[in-house]
Amino acid sequence: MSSRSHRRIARRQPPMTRVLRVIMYNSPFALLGLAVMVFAVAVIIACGQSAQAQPSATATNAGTTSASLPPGWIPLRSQAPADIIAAARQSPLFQVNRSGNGDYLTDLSHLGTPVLVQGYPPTSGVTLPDYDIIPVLDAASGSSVGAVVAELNATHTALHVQSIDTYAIPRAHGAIAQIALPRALSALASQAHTQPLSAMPPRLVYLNINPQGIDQGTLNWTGGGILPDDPVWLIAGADGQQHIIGTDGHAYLPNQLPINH
Amino acid sequence: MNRYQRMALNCSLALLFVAGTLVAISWSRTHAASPKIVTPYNFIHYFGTSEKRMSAAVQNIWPQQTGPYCAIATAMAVVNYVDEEDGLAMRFTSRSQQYSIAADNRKAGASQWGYATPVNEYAGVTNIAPDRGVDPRSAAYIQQHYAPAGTVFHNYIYRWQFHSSTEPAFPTQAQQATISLFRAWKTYSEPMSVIINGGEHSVIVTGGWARVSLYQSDPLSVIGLIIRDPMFAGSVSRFEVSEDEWVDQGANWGAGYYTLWSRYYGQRADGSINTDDPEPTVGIYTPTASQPVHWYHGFSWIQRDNHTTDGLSSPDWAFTDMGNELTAP
Repeated sequence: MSSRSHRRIARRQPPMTRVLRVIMYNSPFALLGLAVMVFAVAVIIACGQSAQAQPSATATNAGTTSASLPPGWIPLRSQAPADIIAAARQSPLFQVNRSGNGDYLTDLSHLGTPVLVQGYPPTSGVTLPDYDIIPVLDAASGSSVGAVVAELNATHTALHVQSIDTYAIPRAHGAIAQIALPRALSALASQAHTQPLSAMPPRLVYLNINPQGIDQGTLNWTGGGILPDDPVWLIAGADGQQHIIGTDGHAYLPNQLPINH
Repeated sequence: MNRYQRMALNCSLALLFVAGTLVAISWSRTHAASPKIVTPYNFIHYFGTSEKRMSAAVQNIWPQQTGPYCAIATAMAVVNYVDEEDGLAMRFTSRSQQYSIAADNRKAGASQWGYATPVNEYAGVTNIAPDRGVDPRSAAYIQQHYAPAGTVFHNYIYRWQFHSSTEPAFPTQAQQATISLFRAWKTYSEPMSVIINGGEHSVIVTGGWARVSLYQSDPLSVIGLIIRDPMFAGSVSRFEVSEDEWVDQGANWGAGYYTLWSRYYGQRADGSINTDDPEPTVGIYTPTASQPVHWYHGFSWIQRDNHTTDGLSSPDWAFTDMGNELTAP
């Protein structure tokens, strides 16, 4: 058919038919364009979801990732209070519903400054982990109604929330120790007749005491320090001795403690 | 249709097919690979006691006295709690009543099979094992004896053999036993006296959180448990412990003593046999050559139930964690 006859036929066709013909002619190309767009969207979705499905292998300052940690351990960015609290809040114990009248702390929204508590005495062959103890504060009074007990790994690059404890009696001013430092220093002076060694600041420790003796009736220890969130003061004295100020306010020498060596 | 149109159509269909496959694969990966991440926490539920009643139940009677008074102290707390629920005045109002119960135990409360010797000053004639303190039968007896009339308690025992023919890994056993506590709370939202640390110690487990499903009657997994320990009640009244702490690790303080349920009843932290808390030596639960364990290689607690017919109300009887009477060790 010549081009002249084409034009004759085209002239004979109504305009609607011409439009339909154009659409029919171009529809495979339009479909291709649409398919390219759908493909692009699918690639974006697939990439996004695959990134989401990866374990949260968060890198920390020491290179610790959650993927390299045992279950329940959370990487720590640093020992800065905000990072410790942020890590602790990832514990499942922070994800539960605390409304209602169940037997638990109902408000974990106000947390105090974490306090490092170390085991005492350091004994070869025995692992006494360090703990970050985070006070759980009463918003109105600022007292510690409890504490988040977070065990630290040896390099302090990860923590594990062992428990969230409730104190029998709230501790004033957001403290975790039953005895405030001024009172501990006073006990040191009045009972041990010495002063703290200025080069070694007092620190809070938990004692390597086996509570089995309490259950067996062979140990009557009232000086506290068994629990990391009920720590005692360890003070290096100017007399060259280590002194422990128990939660009962008494100054003890290491050999007076019922500790496991 | 010319060849360019055909090529465009074929390319479109191929691209659409690949796109669909990509979306399907990524969706299935996301939903199959990380159920724990995706499972919403609003399916975590609390089971257990009321804080107000629980605090009132223990406030005048704890801490435990020095010596193996833990099971007596926990039994008193359970009785007080039931009294509160029933609108009664709490039976126990002072710490010294721990001594009174021990004194009563020296006079009465033996099992139908008699009592184990030598007796000790805490459980007296109520033990069926020569325990250093109070054994699980004695603990059930104390709770039932002092609770309001008609309230029945028994020693419940988990052993993996009650659930399967092959032995699961230890943490799975401890998890299954723990889920049994949640099963109990579905009937009675009351504290339970639970024996921990390889049999050496008793605490009250007052509640816990578990992940639940609408399609399964038992909880799927445990998030954490709430413990009240008469030993530490003077300083810390309550411990909310994570599941891995409870079944897997125990506490790293306390010189390795506080193993929770990371050890079987009868097993010390170092894996050696706990000679303070031996097996029964009188009655039908005394181990035999063919049935060598009763409490050992399992977990024990005291649970309220409604087994009151056919003579089953006696605290002498022990039950499996599934609620079946144990007629042999």
